Amino acid sequence: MPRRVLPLALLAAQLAAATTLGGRDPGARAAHLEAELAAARSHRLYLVLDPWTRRLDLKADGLLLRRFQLERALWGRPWLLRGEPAWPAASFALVTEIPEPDRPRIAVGAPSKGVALTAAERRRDELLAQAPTHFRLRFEPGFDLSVRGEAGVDVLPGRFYRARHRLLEGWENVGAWLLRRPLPPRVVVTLPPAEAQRLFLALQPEMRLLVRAPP
Amino acid sequence: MSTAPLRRLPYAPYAGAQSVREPRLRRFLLGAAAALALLLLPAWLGHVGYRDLTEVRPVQAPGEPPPAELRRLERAIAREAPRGPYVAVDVVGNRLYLRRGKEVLREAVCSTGTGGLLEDPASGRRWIFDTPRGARHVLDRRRDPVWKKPDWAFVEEGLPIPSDPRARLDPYSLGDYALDLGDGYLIHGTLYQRLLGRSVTHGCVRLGDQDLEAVFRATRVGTRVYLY
Repeated sequence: MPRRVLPLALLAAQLAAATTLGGRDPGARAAHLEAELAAARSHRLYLVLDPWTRRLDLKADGLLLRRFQLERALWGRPWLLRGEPAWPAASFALVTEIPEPDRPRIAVGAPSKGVALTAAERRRDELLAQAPTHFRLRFEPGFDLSVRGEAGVDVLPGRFYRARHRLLEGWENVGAWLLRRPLPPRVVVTLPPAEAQRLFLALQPEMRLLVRAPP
Repeated sequence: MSTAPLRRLPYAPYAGAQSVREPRLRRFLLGAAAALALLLLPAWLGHVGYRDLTEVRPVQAPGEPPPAELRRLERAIAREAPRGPYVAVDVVGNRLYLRRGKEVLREAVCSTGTGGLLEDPASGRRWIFDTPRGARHVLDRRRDPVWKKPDWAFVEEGLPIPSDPRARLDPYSLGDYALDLGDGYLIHGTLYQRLLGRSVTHGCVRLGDQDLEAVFRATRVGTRVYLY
């Protein structure tokens, strides 16, 4: 009997931990605002994730430049988590290197102007198509943001489609656990594929991500 | 040589094969199911305990006024925003917005960088034609701007780079106005208005004549420009 109870108790503890997270500290809102003030004073682009209203905002100087409406936002800690979770830290810096796209080369020469411009336009389309719809961003202090650009989140084909990414991330977690690497807590956001690509293109090295405290 | 008649052995190939194959098949199916479960287990474990954040109860009751400290911080953030008009350029969507606060004063179709790579076969120098993302300021405003063509403009056309600086001057390509954003990037006009809305430039932001004039008149040196 205890053998059966133990996994259930662990699962219950995990669920309880998830429910108690989310910034119960009354100062979390002030910490978030302090972090946003610092980001606004940096005069650089930054992201504000508001999981409670399912919004990811691209901002600068406190101004909203673009809003990514999320279809779903999940917060969790990997099952194999080791170490202290960073939540509710308010401000994170992007450490994932943004890969340089495979840029098409511009032919040297003097083709007719119309042909050259059409080719240029095609090159831009190629660059846009290269932007991934699914990516995982790592921030410091330890925090992961999994972005999933998926259409039809709640329909069955969408669930099957999503499974392969869950599978990859799950095995990444196992690999990290086996290699004794820390597993940071994570927010998983789902949004339309084109929006996910737009978000990827908006990323900049060492960009700051602010996570809003509960309203 | 024996003359004894051959003894016929009982022959039941199907029954015998079945008796061997059935456990093998069962073992194979069980093994495949176990392997699949093992493969899928991390995917399930990877999400155990994950919750939709909208389910988490808010700390502060709805409608409760924020404390004074929070109001002070919100005001401080608002003070960082530009007071007058500013320009926001959606580089991927090729749209330029002239705004004041949250109000959109003008929305214009523009053209931005191709993202292409040009390499000079002679010198090996490379140029990337991206419109840079980030926050910038208008550093200079010019009427009837004259473009001093950089080296890449000649390399791209397969022409020799001139030694005479006057050979670089082009008084037509930039249109009637130009806003200097630094590092050689400008907001300017274009001869190719039919290509507005497409990513065809070498990194500058091109506007149509009327939109360019409106943006020029609304901005000053120091006006903030956000490219995203």
